[in-house]
Amino acid sequence: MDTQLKRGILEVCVLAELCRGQSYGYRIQKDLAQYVTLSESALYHILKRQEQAGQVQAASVEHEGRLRRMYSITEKGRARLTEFREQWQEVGRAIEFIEKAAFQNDEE
Amino acid sequence: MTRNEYLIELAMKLENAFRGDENAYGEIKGMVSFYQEMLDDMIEEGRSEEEAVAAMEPADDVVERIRHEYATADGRAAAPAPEAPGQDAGGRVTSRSEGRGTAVRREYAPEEIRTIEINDMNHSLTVISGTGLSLEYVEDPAGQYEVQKLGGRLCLRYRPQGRGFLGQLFNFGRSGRVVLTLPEKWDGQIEARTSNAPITVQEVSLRAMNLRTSNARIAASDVRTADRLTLGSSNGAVQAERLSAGGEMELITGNARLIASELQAGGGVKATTSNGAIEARNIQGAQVRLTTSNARISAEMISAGAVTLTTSNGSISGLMPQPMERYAITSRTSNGRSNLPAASRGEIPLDVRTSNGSIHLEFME
Repeated sequence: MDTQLKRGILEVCVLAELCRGQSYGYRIQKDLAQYVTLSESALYHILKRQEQAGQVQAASVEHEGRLRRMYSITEKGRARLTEFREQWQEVGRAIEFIEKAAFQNDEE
Repeated sequence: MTRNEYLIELAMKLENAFRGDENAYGEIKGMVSFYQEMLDDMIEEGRSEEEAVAAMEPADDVVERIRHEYATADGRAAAPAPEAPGQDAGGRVTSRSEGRGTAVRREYAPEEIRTIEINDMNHSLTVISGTGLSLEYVEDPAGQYEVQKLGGRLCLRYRPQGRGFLGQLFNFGRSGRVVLTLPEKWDGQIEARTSNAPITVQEVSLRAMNLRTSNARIAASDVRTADRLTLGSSNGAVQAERLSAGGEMELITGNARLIASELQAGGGVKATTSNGAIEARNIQGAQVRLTTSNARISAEMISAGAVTLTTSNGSISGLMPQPMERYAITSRTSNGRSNLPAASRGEIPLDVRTSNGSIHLEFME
């Protein structure tokens, strides 16, 4: 997959995962593992960018005597998801057209 | 490779990649703590240290991604300028690097803040007056500050880093301070606590104030509160001059001396310490109570509706503003001379007690 495209999708996957509830680094990586490969550094930078963009909020919470960074999605994050979905629906329509126009002709 | 070996290698390679970049330490701290958390989560899940480390990205890959993310013209990695943490922290933020940390300054409109709460550790606190209201603190790898502004309440809380890993590695020591600047007359209150570091408060006028530290001194001068004023420490001297409170004024410490002059409190003045002398001069209040132990009390010009001077194993001396007959004196000592009658009649209760020490009070005519 093209890197830029992939990065965009990975970011949105993380946002979508946080829609299920607040989570932490390791669990986000684990839960997404069956759909996408997310290295620790990729996840770190994604979360960092999202925090900076106000799409994600982070807080340190105590867990078993250590501090764990918990991430949760914000309104801005949800807005990004909606925007992404609309963009991909448009892409979906474009693919439909391409399929019909460029490939179904061959089969006729 | 053990967990710690992995983290140390990671931290060192990151430091190398960011060499020369002053913004880097906050960034490195964030990254190492992210990886530390991952490792600990895997270990908690049941994997052995070896397995967990093996499942992690090699340190070189992490550094490679850094270069990619933050590439600058000359190919070195440059961390982005640290952004202010906490979206709900409000205020206008500026930051600059300071030593190995980042000094963050948040400015607020004074009318917007009614209460300031500070919960800090190991960093000094200075409260001074200036133009506007601002809060300044220093971020360093040893811990994190959380700032929250909810309505008129501004909270600053310090959270030390998890297991102190970075504190050990980079050894930042106890630098760092919090500086709170208030406008000349601020209609708000402060509740602040720190530890192992001094508190200084000068030339401020506000509604109420409660400042606490431990194992360090407190120095306060030219402070005015409409309500109460409390300064507390332990094992650290308290030095207070020209303080005025509409409500109660309380100065507390232990194992250290307490020096106070020109204090005035509508709600009374209470100064308490132990194993340290009290030197009080020109104290005015509804009632005034000076208490210590194993040390002397020097009390000059204490104007109050009731005065209590208590110590042990120490002398009590001073000068009272009224003639002796005005006071209802209760005086006790053992093994010491006293120039006071054991009891006497008057309207102003004056209770003077010690042991193994002399009592000598003079009175104005």
